Amino acid sequence: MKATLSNRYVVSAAGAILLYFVLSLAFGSNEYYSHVLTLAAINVILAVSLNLINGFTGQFSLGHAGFMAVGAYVAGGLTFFLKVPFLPALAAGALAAGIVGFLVGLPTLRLRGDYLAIATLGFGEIIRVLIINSDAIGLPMLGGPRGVRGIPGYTTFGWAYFFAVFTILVIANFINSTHGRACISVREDEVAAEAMGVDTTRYKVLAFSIGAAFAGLAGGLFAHQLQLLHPDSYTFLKSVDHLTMVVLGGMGSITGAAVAGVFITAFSEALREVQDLRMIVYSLSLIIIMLVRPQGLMGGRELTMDSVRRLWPGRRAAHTGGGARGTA
Amino acid sequence: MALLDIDRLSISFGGLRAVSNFNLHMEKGELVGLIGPNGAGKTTVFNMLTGVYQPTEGSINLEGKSLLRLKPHQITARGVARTFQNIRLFSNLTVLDNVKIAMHLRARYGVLAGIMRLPSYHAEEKRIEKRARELLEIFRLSAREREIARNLPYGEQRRLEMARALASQPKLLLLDEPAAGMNPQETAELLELIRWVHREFDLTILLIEHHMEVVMNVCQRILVLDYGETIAEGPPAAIRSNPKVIEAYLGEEVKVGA
Repeated sequence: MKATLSNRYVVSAAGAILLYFVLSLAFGSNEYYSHVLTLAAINVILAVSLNLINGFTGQFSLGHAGFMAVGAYVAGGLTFFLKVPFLPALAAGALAAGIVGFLVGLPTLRLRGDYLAIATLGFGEIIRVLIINSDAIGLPMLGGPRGVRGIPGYTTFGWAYFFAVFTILVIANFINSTHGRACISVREDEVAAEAMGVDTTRYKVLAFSIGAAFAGLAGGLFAHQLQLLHPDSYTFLKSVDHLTMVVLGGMGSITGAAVAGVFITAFSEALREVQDLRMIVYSLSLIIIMLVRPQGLMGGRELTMDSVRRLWPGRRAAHTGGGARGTA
Repeated sequence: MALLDIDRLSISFGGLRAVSNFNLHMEKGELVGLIGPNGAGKTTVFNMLTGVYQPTEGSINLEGKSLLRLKPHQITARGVARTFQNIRLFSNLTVLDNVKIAMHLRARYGVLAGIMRLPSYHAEEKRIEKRARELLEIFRLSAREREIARNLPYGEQRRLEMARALASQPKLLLLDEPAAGMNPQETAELLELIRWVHREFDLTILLIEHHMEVVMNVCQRILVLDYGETIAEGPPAAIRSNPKVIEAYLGEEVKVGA
């Protein structure tokens, strides 16, 4: 069992590295394309981490942009003001967002459904408004509505891609552990989960904090790509974008969220062509997709190498499926 | 010391006294039935026992330690497991995962060990999977382990609920109408299974049933609830002929003539 498991990891890792080289060779020389690819990787982190909260644990959060802002301002502030190196700054941003997630989650996760959505939405707005009024709260260096310019442009496609793969790996491993199953049982039936010995409050807060930490990581990457800290980057609409990716990909599917993250990034970039019609085409497409496939692209299932292999019944040998990306 | 000691347990919802002065003492290994007409308060007793409701008065002790004010998962950790009157499986998950989740309490590795796939993760997951499969085997659900729980036939869902409850390794098992909606043959098989599980797992079982016949067959002792009051307690034969019980089930005898 263990041997095949590590074999699988080797194949997945090889697939992930291969994809990286293909993408950088194909698009790396073009600044615009590599910008879009970086953005796509960041969105994958956001979608997969939000899916842990909304899709797997069943807690409807609309505050992902708020956690992203915490990570962005902490990481960006550290590299810009204190000249902290990139990776420790990113880690600090993720940690800060995780801690804020814990503090916000503890009281709000008592709420259910719509109420939790409203509370988390409110939290996201509070973060944004605090930043806008940073002069008044004694942190004038955050620049308030002017933002902070000149954040070092550390985020390359390589880093963003690495962290996207890292996020998928961590969350997939978490979901496939007893702790991940506990989170899923909360989504399925809270009363039954408690009766089976699952501390539902603990796992809600845990999933929320882990999700928030990865949103903070994505925020740090985003700030160092944009080279700017600005409160307008973290509006409520951003949270809706992340939610769209989760719903489109399929609630409770890691590969679905990852694919939808890439797809929506590419799609909204492509729609720059039609300018004013952009939001109309975007919304209409989403409506149509949801009408045709209400469960999302993956609908809670995962795209694994096993499922890819099943498409070719003749090729069931152990070493197929080389390029199967997103093997969770 | 008694395994379970319930003393003068009462609960009111607003003005309604759903259960009043409920007493129950169970020795280790007993199989006790709790019966009564609809709305008598049977499930309410279960919900107080498992921490879903907090009783207004009274005490519940398991092995001498109070269960009051504990959360449901803490009570499960103390060794009380239950099934539900209207099946509450994790209906979108596989049969195997349903059982695995109930073994959460006994999984000994941390969140980081799970994420980093440390040796403790592999060892524990292997143990969990083996144990879950054994339980499915006992409940004749092995062939179904990869199926989604909600797709199982009704009788199998009931069996899966029992398998899941046992996965948390309880000392006391609470079964809430396990035979509800089953046909006579399924019911007979289930009774056999309950007897077997009782013996084999060295369990103490409290069984709620709506149908008298089911409990009469399997329980050593029976309590009868009506409108929240305990109206009778004793061995099946005595319960069967108790006029108060007959009255609760069939209504008051109408005296003709005289």
